[in-house]
Amino acid sequence: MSALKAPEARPRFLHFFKYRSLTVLVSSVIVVASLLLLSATASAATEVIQFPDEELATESVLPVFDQPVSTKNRVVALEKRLEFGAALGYALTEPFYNPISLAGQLTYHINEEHGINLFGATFLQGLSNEANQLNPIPNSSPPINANLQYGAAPKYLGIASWQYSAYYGKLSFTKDYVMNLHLYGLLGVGMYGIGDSSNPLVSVGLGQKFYFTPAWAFRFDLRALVYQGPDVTSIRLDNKTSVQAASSFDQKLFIEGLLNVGVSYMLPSF
Amino acid sequence: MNSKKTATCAVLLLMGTMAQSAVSPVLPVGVDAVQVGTVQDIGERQSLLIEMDRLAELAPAPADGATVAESGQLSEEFDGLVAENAPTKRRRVVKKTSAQSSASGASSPSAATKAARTGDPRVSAIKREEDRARQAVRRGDYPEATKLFFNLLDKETNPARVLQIRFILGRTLQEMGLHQVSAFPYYEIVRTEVKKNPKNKYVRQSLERLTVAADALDSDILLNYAVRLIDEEEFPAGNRDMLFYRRGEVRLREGNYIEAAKEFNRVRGNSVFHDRARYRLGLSLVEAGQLEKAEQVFVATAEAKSSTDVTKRARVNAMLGRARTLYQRKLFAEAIDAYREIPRDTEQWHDALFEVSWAYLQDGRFRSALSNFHSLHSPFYEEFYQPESLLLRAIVYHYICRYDEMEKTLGIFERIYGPVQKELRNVLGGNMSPIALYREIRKVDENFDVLKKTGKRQLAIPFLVARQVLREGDVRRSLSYIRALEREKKKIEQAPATWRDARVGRYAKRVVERRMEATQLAVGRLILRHLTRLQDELAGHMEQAGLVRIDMISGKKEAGKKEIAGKGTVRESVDQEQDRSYYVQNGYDYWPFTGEYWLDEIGNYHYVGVKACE
Repeated sequence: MSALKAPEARPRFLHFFKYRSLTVLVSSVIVVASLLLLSATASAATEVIQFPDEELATESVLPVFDQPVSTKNRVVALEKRLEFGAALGYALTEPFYNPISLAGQLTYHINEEHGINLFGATFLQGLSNEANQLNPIPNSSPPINANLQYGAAPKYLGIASWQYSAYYGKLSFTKDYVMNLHLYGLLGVGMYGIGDSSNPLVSVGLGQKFYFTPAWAFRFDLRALVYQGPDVTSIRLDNKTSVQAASSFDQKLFIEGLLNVGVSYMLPSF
Repeated sequence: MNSKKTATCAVLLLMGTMAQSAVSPVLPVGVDAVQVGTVQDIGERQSLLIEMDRLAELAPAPADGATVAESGQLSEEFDGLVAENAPTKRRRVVKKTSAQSSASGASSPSAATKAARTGDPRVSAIKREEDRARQAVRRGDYPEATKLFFNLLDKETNPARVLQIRFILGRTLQEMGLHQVSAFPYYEIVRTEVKKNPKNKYVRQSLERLTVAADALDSDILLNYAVRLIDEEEFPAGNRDMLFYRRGEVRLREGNYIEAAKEFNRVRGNSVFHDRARYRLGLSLVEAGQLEKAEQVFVATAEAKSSTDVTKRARVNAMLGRARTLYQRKLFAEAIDAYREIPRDTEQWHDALFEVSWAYLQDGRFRSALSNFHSLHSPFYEEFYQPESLLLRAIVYHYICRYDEMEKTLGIFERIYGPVQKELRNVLGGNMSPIALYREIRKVDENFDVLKKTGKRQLAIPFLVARQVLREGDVRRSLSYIRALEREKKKIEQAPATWRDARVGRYAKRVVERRMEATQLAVGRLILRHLTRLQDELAGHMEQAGLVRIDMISGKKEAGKKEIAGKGTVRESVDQEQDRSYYVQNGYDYWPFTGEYWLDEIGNYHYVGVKACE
């Protein structure tokens, strides 16, 4: 059984339509790899089989129901399910320290829309490539080391968020392969461990999951982290010989971007 | 003398303007605006004026039996008072008619006026009460007026005046929006006078008012009663379309299809009843066996409405009517085309989806039928009662030797409708009273969404069946009547306490409550009838399912034999060679079905399975 739908002739009103086209646009780049992988299963058939033309859809309006629901019998149902995830994080705006982090998350979906997400990440230690190049600072004479390794570096991150799964959709890559999607928003609070200090933060995020089975999915999260933390550029470190306490730096408001790419697995509902 | 002149003139308005004011709520603006105040109406008012002048000669019967008090004046004055409260247009008519009637009033001082001077205490009391009633109407205080008129009924012994007061009481009650209560005085007038004095103008006007009340209440009983007795020539021209339409309905229910068609055909194009009348005209012709004519009517109706909203109910009903007529004419291919034209974003589309499946089968298009069944048996229709379509699906699978699918379908049928049959048997065997049945169905009607989610098990009647019963036209109509009665009861309860506790208030409450009880009982019986019918049908379906299952087992056996003999049953269930590029290139989205149903995919499924036998 397959479904053929007419090209849009009249405006559509339910959100998932917009989402489908938006999803295709947004995710097309991200899922190229998946596409390549999955295209191996594409049919090589070339024979054209036509359904009676007069039976093809001629309108794209929706049937009328008392309470219209966009999808029934969802392949990926969220309600009362626990979701585990592992991801690799990349701090998009981190200039001095290693931006890579290892993250894990746990989400409990209260219903199809709302859930609680717990996110934890530990940052790999060391300086970023750029910061390494500042030991010594180019063209300084005599050579001066920026010594950013003695500054307060990010260590861990813990966020508890409310997750709102706003949109459910699907993508068809091949004739027989359909991938379901969830687009969700995240809003949370947490702690950001930088050096020897722990700093409260507020986080806002957007994410997308691409399900390659009803339980397994690729998960992409993009979070903005807003926190007051130590500014490593507020004091000179070139004359320091050990890691400085976070309190020695001035406090500054930071807005950082954190991208997580990983997989998630959902347990059956309970 | 002066007051007499005014009163006499006002009678004219009572008959004309009151009729308009009471009718206008049930007719949309525009229709009565055009029709009110036609030359014919004014002529009618003038003739009524003369009649009311004659009535003025009547008087309350005094204690000694002599004619003493003013008479006729009551309704005349009432008319005038209403006119004074009415918009300018009405007042102009009053002035005009006042001028006309003043002449007659001046030339012949009424016997009633003379009688009033005699000083009979009973007559004086009636007079005082009449005055108070007039003032109440002048203030627009209809509750007070009804109280007084209701009391006057007891005091008055002059039969002509009793008739008059009863009529005016009905009118004031109607002004309060109590159509059901008002129907009773009208009914009483008709009942007592129709045989001995059918030409009496109160009989005629009461019938007219009764029709208006019935229309407002959507009451079949009142309608049937009034419509049978009414003389169309004496019915106000402005409301005749309603009369034709309602009379057509009555004839249709009686099975007098040709007469029904004639009545529906008389409804004019500018009437609000026109669309409905055209549809019912088509239906009447179908019932009368004149299918070609019926189709022409449906086509014309659909085309006439095609310039407006394409999803307009009248248009879509006509389209559906046409498709059904074509099916009945056994023109299945044409019927399929007609069904497919029905817009998806209409309520009628669901019925079309099911009915076209039958047409596909009749036309031998099994693949198309199976495509439709996939939509019909999706969770979007899980609350729909459709055992027949499941059985049909199993039969189609049998035709193409897809026994596995057939078994699954039969399994679904038995899983869903087995318990339904059992519960239905319990309900009908448990001697549930009609009132209990009514309450059960009403519960579903009122709390449909809540019950759908959580409370299906709280119901004695299976939810699917309850929903099906609720879709029946006669049940829907009766429930609408009960709702109108409930609204009326609420109005009574919200009326001032002095009115509620007065005799008329208690009477009104009693009338509405009794009507409600009687109607609930009638609806309960109707529901019982539908349940019994559904049970019988379901028993038939179950029996057929059993036979189909036997056929399936035998078919499976044969298929197995052929396979062993190497005669090659096709093993693939799906046409793997199908290429989607044709559709994609033509702007379609192609989605393989993966188990979930999307709202925008309903109606667009295409079966890609293949036949497993020759």
